[in-house]
Formats: sequence, structure tokens, C-alpha cells
Amino acid sequence: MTIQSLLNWIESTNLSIAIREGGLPYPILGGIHLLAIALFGGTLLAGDLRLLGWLMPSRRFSDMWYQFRPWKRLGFVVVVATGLLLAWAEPVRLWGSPSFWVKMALFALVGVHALVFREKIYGHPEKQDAGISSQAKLAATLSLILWAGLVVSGRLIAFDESFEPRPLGESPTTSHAIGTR
Amino acid sequence: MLDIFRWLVNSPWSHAINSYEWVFPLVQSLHFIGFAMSIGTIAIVDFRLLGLGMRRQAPAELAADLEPWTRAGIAVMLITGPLMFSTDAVAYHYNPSFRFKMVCLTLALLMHFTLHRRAVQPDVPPIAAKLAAAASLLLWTAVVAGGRMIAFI
Amino acid sequence: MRTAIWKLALFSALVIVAALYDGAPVTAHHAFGSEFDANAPVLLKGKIAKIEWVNPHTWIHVEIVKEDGAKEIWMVEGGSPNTLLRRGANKSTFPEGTEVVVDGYQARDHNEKRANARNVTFPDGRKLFLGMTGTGAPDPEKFDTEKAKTIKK
Repeated sequence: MTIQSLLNWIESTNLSIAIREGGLPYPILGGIHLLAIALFGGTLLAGDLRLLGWLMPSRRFSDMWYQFRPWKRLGFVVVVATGLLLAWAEPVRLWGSPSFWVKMALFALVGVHALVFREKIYGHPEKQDAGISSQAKLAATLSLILWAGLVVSGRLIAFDESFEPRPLGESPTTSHAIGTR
Repeated sequence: MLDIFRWLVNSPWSHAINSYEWVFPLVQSLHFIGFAMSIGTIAIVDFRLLGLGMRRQAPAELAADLEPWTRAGIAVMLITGPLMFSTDAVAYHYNPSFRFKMVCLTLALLMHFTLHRRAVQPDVPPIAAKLAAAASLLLWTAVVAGGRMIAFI
Repeated sequence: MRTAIWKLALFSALVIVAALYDGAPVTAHHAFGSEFDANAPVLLKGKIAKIEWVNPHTWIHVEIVKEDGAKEIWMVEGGSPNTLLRRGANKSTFPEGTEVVVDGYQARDHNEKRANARNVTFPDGRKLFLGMTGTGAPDPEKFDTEKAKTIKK
């Protein structure tokens, strides 16, 4: 099975059609995606800003960290779940979208970031209580940049060429196999 | 009123945003980050008032610590929002979802700087504090939802 | 408060850097003004070749026949499925082969056979407003029919 046939199969599913062609599912999923950012993004930002010493510097870092954590996780789950459903709706166009791949790369980097800094920082937040290490500040800065990049690249997806309609008049041999309909 | 909107569409900044296709989505992305900051920090306090988290701090402390960032986020919104509005002022004006959003936003901002400030004080009965938090969350949710629906109405 | 503003400025700079390093080529749409030309109204009379009923925008492909007999297919952008559903239309409102008249605004690049639709008029005289007021177009009430260029050659 080729990638193209897999993507086409996904687009043929009832779930995909319902979101892609339906009235409300698409904006509702997008809305929940954004709401999760609005309601839970604050805890993510606050955690990193605390590491940079710019927010609530008098509170113990580990205190803040453990309290923010469940919210960050909840937000993350909701964002990813809605994101997956939105992706299920138009996999062909996404496959051809450079912004989507940038976003996925940044997402992978977020995972790498978590692994790299787990031992020194995130796995043992108490270590920062006596004073924030410069490595922790670096981690926080990188984290902010990555998440900001995720938001921007995510927004740019709908503007990529693969989301344009393909001119009908083109001969069938003109190959825009990926990313068009 | 319409004349002001038409003027906005032809303003220098509107032309600037419309001249390069990537500018509008960039401004919009800053809008999203801005509301992650403002609504996000407000939500932290609201969840605390509802007894759902951040219990090691008193609501008033949390609110005081987070307020500068809430305001910074609001500042970003109040710059990026009107910038985007300018690019299509007349059309936004006619859009029912946009109008709904503006009403909710006005109420949410008013509430934030009045009732909400009061609600975080220690002498407020829990039920009142919870009502205030719920109203706040509801209003800000309506603002985001209204914003999302602009393009789908 | 002042330091918070400085920090916000630094943060915004980081975002801009992130955006710039996101090298995605942006080729189209949103914010009407950056893709379509409000000063280039067009009138297209032809047959529906295809309807793309998809989120976030519907697209109608209209085949016109020019004076010299040559056929040309124009891509016309409509509102989202939800927008059209609310106005009583659905996918089967646009069967292939139907003779229609579409008025709208041409893409900024006048070499492109693409337009943002305002109205589509069906053979029985029914008129459907396709415009999405959210992404903007000049006043919905005013369409310069005199200035509209009928695509003939």
C-alpha cells in the first residue's frame, strides 16, 4: 500500500467526510483546539516564565511545577486529540503542506526537549528551588520558542498551496499527486 | 460608523498587512499567543476559585502574581485584534459572530477589572467566588468560540 | 509593569524569529484584501464544472466559453459549508452542468482565473449569496455592476 492510497483511504472514511464536508464539526473541533490553548496554555507559559524568573519568583519552583502539571497534561491531550481529528479530515492536503511538516518537526523537537531536560530539570524540579540553573533557563527559552513556533506553523497550514483548489483544466498527466484533489 | 470602517480598510497598516500574504496569519498567531497568556492566566485563577487546582496559594495571591502577565496578554490582544479588524472592517462589522464576540469581550473585560478583582479577596463567600469564576470562564470561552465562528457563519 | 513590557517585547521577538524560521511558502488567502482585488469585480457566465464542498472554503469551478469559442475554467471561492448550509444550500444545490452567473472579485494577480464569489444566480432566477462576511469583501450591499468585467475574451 502506498502512502497516497492510505491517505485516500482515510479521506474515504465516514469520519473524514463528516468533518471535511460537514457544517459544524470542523469549526467546533478547531474551536476546542483553540480553547485548550486559551484555558491551559497559561499553565505552560507560566511554568516556563517561572523558570526564567519572570513570573512568581517568590514561589518555589517545584511547588508551581507540580500544580501546573495536571493542567498542562489535560490541555496537551485535548489539543492533540482535536488535532488528530482535524488531520483525519484532510490528510491529503496536510501531506502536501510544508507548514504541517514544520509543525510536526517542532512537535518532535518538543518531545526531544522533554527527554533531554528530564534528568536535570523536569524530572527533579526541586533542584531548581535553591536557584534556577542556567541550563533550566535555556530549557525554558527553547520551550517558549518551540511552542510559539507550533502555534505559528499551525496557523500557516491553511495557507499552504496544497489547500488551494487544483485547476480542473489541467491534463490528467500533470502530476499533483500529493496534496490536491 | 461605516465611514470610519471604510477608512480603516484603507489605512496604511491595513494596506501593509494586505500586501504580504503571510502578515495576517502572523498577526493572528500573535493573537493566539496573546490569549494563551491573558485567558490562560485568568483561567488559572478561575480554576483556583472553583477549588480545582493551584490550592497552595490563596486566590488573591495568585491573582496578584499573575495580573501583570494577564495585562500583557490583554495588551497583545488589543493591538493584534484591531489590526486584523482594520483589514476587513466593514465585513467584520456585518458579521454576527464578530459582534457576539465583541459583546462577550466587553463583558469579560469589564468583569475582569471589577467583579473578578473583588471575588479573589478572602472575605468573599465561596459560592459568590465560584459564580464569578464560572461566569469568567464562560465569557472568555464565548469570546474564543465567537472568534472561531467568524469565518463559519 | 515596565519590565513586563520589556519581557513581552523579547517574547514577541522570539515568536517572530520562530515564524521567520518557519520557511513555509505562503501562497494564498484569508484577509480578503491580501488575495482578492476589491477593485476588480467580475461576472462569470457559464456551467458548473465541479463543486468542492470542503472546509474551510467551498470552491466552485465554472466553465465559461469565450468569444473565440475557447473554454476556460474559473475557480470561485465560496463560504464554508456551514455558511452555505445556513443559507439553505448544500452540496446538491450545485449539480455539474448547471448554467450559472457568478459575480465576485478577481484574485489580486489578474492572470489567475480565480475569484472570490459574492452571488451565484441559478437558471430559475434564484440567487444565493456565497460570500463569507468573516473573511471580508467590500460592502455586501454594494456591487459595482457597471464596473464588473464580464469575462468574454
